[in-house]
Amino acid sequence: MREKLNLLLVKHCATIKNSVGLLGQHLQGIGQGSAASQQALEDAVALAHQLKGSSGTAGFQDICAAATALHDHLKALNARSGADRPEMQQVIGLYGVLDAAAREAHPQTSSLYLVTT
Amino acid sequence: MKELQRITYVEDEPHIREIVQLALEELGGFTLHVCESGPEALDTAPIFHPDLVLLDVMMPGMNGIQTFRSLKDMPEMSETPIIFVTAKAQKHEIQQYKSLGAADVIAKPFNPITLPADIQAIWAKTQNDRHH
Repeated sequence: MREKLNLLLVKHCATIKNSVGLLGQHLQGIGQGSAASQQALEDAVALAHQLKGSSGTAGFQDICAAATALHDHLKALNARSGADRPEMQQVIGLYGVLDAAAREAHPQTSSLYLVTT
Repeated sequence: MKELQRITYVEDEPHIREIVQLALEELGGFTLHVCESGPEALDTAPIFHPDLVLLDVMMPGMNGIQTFRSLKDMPEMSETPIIFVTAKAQKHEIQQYKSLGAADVIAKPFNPITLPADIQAIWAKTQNDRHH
């Protein structure tokens, strides 16, 4: 089981980095008012939700916490159909925390890795 | 008490599916059937005959609640315990899921290493409730 889990963690680290990058692209598309901006916001909410669940299950608690904070903020913005400048500054800050955590991700930083060694 | 052996696991997120499948099969020793969606669960559960269903709530298309209701409408699944797995696990939400008839609710993110034991505990309770 240990080897199989480790392989999954290696795979998951790569996916986390890709997903966080893609999330960043969605965030760049968010502004005010346009349909494209609204779609970018919805896509960002969905991806943050996915990151929150999968990283938490894989034992990457820092990433899970950062994705949760970003998801909750984006969800509130989505309910109001957009973000003003101060709100976007907050989004960028929260994304920065997530991005930094994702860059540090490797299998040994997962709590599951410690359990199986 | 009847032993828990066969589980249908329904989850749309592939990374969560892979880790949970590994934990339930290799740590828990269960025979697992994994479904990616509600419709797949409805097609396969009556054939696989699970002892218990582990069901994600937030899924695209047919969500977990809809899947739950449809499974319970099947005569062969009406008595099968179904556990919801969800990030939406505030106290009032858990109450809502249980009032629907869910055996229990497991909050996401969960620890896949302790998941087999958590499921066994819920199973034991369902069997105990059945006999009292």
